[in-house]
Amino acid sequence: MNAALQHLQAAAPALLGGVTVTIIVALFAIVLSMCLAIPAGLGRISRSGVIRSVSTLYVEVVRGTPLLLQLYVWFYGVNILLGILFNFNIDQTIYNILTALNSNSLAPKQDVSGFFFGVVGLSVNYGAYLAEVIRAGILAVDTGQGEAAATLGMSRWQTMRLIVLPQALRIMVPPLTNNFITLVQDTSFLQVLGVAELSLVSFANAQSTSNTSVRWGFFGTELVVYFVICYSIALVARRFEANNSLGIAPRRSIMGGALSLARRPRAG
Amino acid sequence: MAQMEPVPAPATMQRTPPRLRAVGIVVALIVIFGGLGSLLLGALDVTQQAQRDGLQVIQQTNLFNPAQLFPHVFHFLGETLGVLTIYTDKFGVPFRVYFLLGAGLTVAFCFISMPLALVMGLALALLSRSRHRWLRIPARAFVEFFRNTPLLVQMLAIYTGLVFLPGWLLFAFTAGIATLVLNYAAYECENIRAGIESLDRGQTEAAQVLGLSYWQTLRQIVIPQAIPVLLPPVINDLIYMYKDSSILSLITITELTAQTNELTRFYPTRTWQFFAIGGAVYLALSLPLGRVARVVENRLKSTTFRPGVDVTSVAIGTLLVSVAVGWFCAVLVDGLSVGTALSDLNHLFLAIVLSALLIASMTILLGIVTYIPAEVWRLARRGHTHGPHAASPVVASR
Repeated sequence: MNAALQHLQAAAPALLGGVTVTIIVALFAIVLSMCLAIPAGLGRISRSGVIRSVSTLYVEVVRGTPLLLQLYVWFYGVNILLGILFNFNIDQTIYNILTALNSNSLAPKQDVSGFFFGVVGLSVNYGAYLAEVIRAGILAVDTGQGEAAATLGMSRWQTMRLIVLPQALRIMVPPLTNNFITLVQDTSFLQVLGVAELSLVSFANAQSTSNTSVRWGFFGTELVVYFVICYSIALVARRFEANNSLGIAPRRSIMGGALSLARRPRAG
Repeated sequence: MAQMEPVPAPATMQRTPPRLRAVGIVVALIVIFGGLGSLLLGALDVTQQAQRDGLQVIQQTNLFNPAQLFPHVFHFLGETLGVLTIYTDKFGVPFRVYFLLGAGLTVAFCFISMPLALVMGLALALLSRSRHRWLRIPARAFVEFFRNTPLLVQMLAIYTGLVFLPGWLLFAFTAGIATLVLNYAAYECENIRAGIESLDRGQTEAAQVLGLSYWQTLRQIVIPQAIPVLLPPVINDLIYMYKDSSILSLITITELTAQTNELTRFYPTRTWQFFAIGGAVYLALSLPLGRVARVVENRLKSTTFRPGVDVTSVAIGTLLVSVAVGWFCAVLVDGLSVGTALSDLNHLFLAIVLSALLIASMTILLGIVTYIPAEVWRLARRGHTHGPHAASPVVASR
């Protein structure tokens, strides 16, 4: 027990760095995946067959293959592909960009390709799942709304912007937050690409000893940190969810609202 | 309202004849997708060739020249066909065998873990709906803990952290199954709870009036009506388990992702072929299941569920058949003989024992950790206004 605490204390800076990397990866991935998911989700219900088939191809292929395989494809496939074809090295590119901005001392000293392709792979994967969430949210809005808007003479774009999307956004928020929570958990996959996030730091520290209690100190800390991050997001999201206690519905406790998660956090 | 005169259609809204449009669209699609696809395949092939022959291949090839592009495209397609059919590695084993072995192990793990997760999820669901707080809180703690922590971390913790367990109980196979079962039991608990709670309260009250015991109501009234509600999410979770089984590659289990990875490492000139075929095998496993899930959901939604059979027995039978199929796939992968059949059966039992052991111990552990703060929270909220009071049996236990 004492040994476990001692080891944890010694590794605390590395663990904090790992948590920081995890949070940064999660934030990047959330933003990028939403940027991919919105066109893909809207494309899935487009009137144009071309756009629909391209979006469906993207969503079905990415949702049907495992995240780990996709990360391997990005890091061991696309990385080498870009390197050979276009002489593209992400470290060199970042260095060049920062040099152009007169700040190349900010360039990261370690290899960033794992981080870069990990974030890209995670975003592409979650873009497909979030596209399905967005599609389901838009389709869940009553068709009568669209018909009424058409009789009022609104164009399709006006209908979407003024009538459908506001209602769809309210419906979409719970599955979106569930997906973001799963995204934070799935940043642990990036350890296979060598990204020094929380899982890798804890696992490396745990593997370096053979003392069981020290190992469990690291694993336990890691699990507790992930649990605290994800559960707090879940509590906050449930508290501010539109269907729960905003408006005239009677107020429930935070725990009661949070414990009503009854579905797996991915759509479809 | 003012009368509106009919406005003549502007010239821009007159459409080209439908057949000409269709032909034009098809030609445009072929040109765009064919062109982009060929460029992509040509680029992949050139990269793989450059890995073997050196980078000067890149400078010598101009991909935008069709005379140079199409040989590369056909070479890529030929290589894919070859890997699928006749190409062998340096030991003379055809490549397709590796993919079949990997797919077999993936299917085995999924078909064994899902029924176990359902059974243990049912136990957790029943516990979490109990009247007694000391049963409810550990179950809910387990479910929330295993839903809010990453699967990969759980797997590594179970495989490398439980060194006090004997080596005959904890090895790659049992650790993989135990991890999948633990994680998915938490999700299935929520699905089963949703199914059970979708039932009208009058059903259980009527069963009580008729004198049925708890287990009789469960088996004959609750579960048959809960199954249509929980079946679509459970099938979706099976699809997720197919994909989550890829993390087993990190515990030295040679399932599909591990095989693909290993092949790309040893034969890098065929990297994209292996990636494409591996992804295609995963798609071939998950897309039909997605179709099945949608069909099941539609059929259960449209008609009321009037089974002519004993639903619970059919469900139990399905779970047993699934485990048997999984075991059989594992036997096929390990080499079909009586010895491997018995050893895989042994591994299966050990996996079940390990999963049950871990779920029980984690539930107890997390229950102890959570119960004390929960009691403190409860007493702090109500202790000084009401004093200790018995939980009303009519109120839904939550």
